[in-house]
Amino acid sequence: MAAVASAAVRPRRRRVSARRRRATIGWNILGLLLSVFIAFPVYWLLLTSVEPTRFVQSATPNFLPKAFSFSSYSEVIHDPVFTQDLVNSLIITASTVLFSLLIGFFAALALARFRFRGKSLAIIIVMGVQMVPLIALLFPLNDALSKAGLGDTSLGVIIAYVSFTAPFTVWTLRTFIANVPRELDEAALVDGCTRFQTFYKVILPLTLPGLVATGVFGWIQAWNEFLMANILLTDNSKQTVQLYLVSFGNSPTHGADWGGLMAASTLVSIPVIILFLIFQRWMASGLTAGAVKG
Amino acid sequence: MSVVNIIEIDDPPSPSPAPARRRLLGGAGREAGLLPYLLLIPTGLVLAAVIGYPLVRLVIMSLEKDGSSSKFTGTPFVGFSEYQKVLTDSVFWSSVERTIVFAGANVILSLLFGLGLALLMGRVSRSVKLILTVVLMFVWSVPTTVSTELFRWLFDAQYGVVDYVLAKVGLGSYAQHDWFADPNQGLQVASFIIIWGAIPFLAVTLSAGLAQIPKELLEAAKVDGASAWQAFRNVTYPFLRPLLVIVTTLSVIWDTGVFNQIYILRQTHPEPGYYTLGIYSYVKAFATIYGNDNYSYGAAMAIIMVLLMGVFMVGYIRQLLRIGSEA
Repeated sequence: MAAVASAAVRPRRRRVSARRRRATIGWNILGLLLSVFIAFPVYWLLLTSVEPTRFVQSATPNFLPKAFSFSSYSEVIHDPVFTQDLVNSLIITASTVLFSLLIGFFAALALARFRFRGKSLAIIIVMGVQMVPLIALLFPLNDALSKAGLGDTSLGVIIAYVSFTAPFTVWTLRTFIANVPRELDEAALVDGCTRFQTFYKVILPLTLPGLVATGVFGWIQAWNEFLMANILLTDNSKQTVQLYLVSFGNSPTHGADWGGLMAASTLVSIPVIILFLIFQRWMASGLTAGAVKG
Repeated sequence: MSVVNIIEIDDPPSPSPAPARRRLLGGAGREAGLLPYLLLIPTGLVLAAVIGYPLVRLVIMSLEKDGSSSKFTGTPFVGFSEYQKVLTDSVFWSSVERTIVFAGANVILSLLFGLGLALLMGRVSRSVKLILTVVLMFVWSVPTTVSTELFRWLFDAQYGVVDYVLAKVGLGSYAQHDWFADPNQGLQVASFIIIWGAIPFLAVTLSAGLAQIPKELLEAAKVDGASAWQAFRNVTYPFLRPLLVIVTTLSVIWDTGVFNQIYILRQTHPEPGYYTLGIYSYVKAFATIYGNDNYSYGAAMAIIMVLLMGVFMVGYIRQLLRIGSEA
């Protein structure tokens, strides 16, 4: 009886799996085509940046590299304004991230580990302020910073940037701290640790990966910011690389220097791309783990 | 902006903690009762200074007559006259309309592509999925300044590759075509940039959400003879819905606030045909080259923007809180 049934089922299953395999091949081809299509702009960015100018400015573009030249890169790297702006960007981004982590960690600890009156209000404020458009803050911030003598300074920009890095730092760190099992700090308390020792010896080391990941997110956002810096910084020597890139694209002296612009674009993207690729695992899975928990 | 908005929000403490736990952590003494507030002070002060104060100032500014031109004459209080000016400004209303159409199209298209790609990633073989993921990660990591300059180059009238390819495949009229002369066409290029930039987040997030759907349910649907669409409608969609609501709301917030992709695409001098709410308020408040820069006008417009966005924000926060309380 059983043998008859399985004999009847087997060919059908084989047929189904063959059909499925054929479908997979179709999906694979579609997937590859879409990959090529989506990746093409990035390919074009890199290709343009390493081509000699005569190939870039040509009525018939080359789809494969015919000759390599790093003249576009050396043009940008040897521009003193670029190196100055690079240093500015590094200072602004690093200070913003470190400051946000420092203050954000304490707030995250409070929200993750304690119950207190007004906690939901605090949570709603932290979430709500993340959604205030930067442009709305920019009008009064610009005014206030210039009145405080911080117009056109790195410090002014750092202060402005904290307005968007601090809330999400609190929010993200809170999740990481909440994921450290409470039993661990309870055990430490029972064993006679003080509250501070519990924090210092248990929670801090266990949330270190979270601090790094949150810092990376903050880094990417502060590094990429353009709108605020464009208003707050006017002096060439004080600008960030994002401003450098955009003014490079607009300056008449660089006319149709697409090679230079693409080289500058690549250089500006590299710090972010590297961080992204290192942390992509966390970005893809960790990001949604909670959101679909429902 | 921030891709981490969507991070988990489950509230760790259970509704009724054991009394012993409360004594240890909730803190018996007075000191423990104050501790959380002390921990919140630094962030609280900073947020009050960089967000609270500016928002209050924004409201005040919107009620004053204060351009940088009137710096020496003081700032007379003019009540709601700036709002009145904004609301009777035809450029404002055409910007509102443009923002809604532009953002709406971008949200719908990027969600369709993102969801389609996520579904595709569940069907392709492992190696193709890896290729797609790597490509998406690269695209995701490109800053908007860079992607905008890049698309400006792709769509360049003189040497741009898009015009070249279109002419090659027989659309001869697109040879040396200037995409930015007609603002509506220029905004379509901006849409390309925005959708291209949004797809990685959407596809990767939704694909992670799809992976959490129990395989047995989809198999069971198939055994019961459900078509692909029925399986999606009755199994996949209900599972994905909370996540879809979140990414849709985020997309609405991001796409309504789009700035860089238009501003930089037009080389920092967007023509009136490119005005969205963000661009127009920025131009009004800061761009002295347009003649009368007007802070209070920009401020009034920014407040109207915040109020409009507020509707979505409330919905978003409520959704997050609801998921959080279910967890």
